[in-house]
Amino acid sequence: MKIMKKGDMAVIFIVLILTAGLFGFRLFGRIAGECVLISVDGSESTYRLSEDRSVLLESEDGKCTVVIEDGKVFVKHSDCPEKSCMNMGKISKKGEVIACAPLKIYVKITGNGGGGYDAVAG
Amino acid sequence: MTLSPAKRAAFGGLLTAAALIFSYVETLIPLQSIIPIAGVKLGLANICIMLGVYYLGITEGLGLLLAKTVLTAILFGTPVSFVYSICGGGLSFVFLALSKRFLEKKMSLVGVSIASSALHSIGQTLAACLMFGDIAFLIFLEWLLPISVITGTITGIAAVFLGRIAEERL
Repeated sequence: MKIMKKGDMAVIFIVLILTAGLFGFRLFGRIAGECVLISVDGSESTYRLSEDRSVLLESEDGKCTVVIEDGKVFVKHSDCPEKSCMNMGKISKKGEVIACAPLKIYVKITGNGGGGYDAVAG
Repeated sequence: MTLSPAKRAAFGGLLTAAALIFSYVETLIPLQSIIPIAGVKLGLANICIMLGVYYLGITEGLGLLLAKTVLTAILFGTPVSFVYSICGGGLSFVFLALSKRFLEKKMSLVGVSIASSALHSIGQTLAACLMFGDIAFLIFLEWLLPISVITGTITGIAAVFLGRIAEERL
C-alpha cells in the first residue's frame, strides 16, 4: 500500500533545507554571550552574564525566578501552568532565548549591553 | 466522494467533536517535558481539519478550524493561547486550502500534514516575535521545524488511514 507521493518528499526536503539553513546560520554566530536581557511585559533590563544573581520577576499573571549562575541563565521557578520555560534548561550562547509566554516574560542572551548595563537590582 | 447533505452535516459534526477531543488529549501528553520547547505538540486535531478540507471542502474546513480554535481556547486555553493558535492554524490553513485546490494529485495527506505542521510552527513563532516585539524567537524554529516533520508524518499517516475508513463507511 503506497502512501507517499513525490510531493511529500519535496515537502520533507524543503523543511529540512530550511532547518539546515537555520542551523548553519547559527553555527557561525554561536559565540558566548556577555549579557542577559530580561523583558517583563515590554520593560527590559540587562544583566552581566558573568555576575551570579537571582532575579525575581513579577508580571500581571504571576511570578518567575530567573537565575544567572556560572555564565548560564535558567528559569528556576515560574507560576505559569506549562513550565516549558523551566524545561528549556540553561542558555549561554548569543541569540539563545527562554520564553514564558503566559507571563509575557522572556530572557535573551546578547553579545553586549548595547550601551551600558542597567543597574537594576533583582 | 459525494455525500448527501445529511451525511456532510454529520461528518462535519463528527470531525468538530473529534478535533476537540484530540486537542484535550494532547494537553495530557507531556510532550513538552521530553522536548523542552514551548508549543511542541502532535497536532492531532489537524487530522480533523485536513479530513474536513479534503472530504467536505475548503469552506467547511475553515469552519471546522474556527470552531475548533475558538472552542479549544474557551474550554482549555487562555486569550494568549488563542492568539498563538489562530496564527499557527491560520497560516497552515492557507497551505491546506491551496494544496486541496492545486496539489491534490501530487501530494498525499502526509506531505500536506508535514507542510501544515511546519507552517503552524512558523505561524506561532512569528506570533511570538510580534507579541514580544523581538525576532530572537525565530531561533526556536531550528528545533520546531525538524520536529514538525516527525509529528506531521505521524498525523498525516493517521489522516490517510482515517480518510480511507471514512470513504468506506460514509
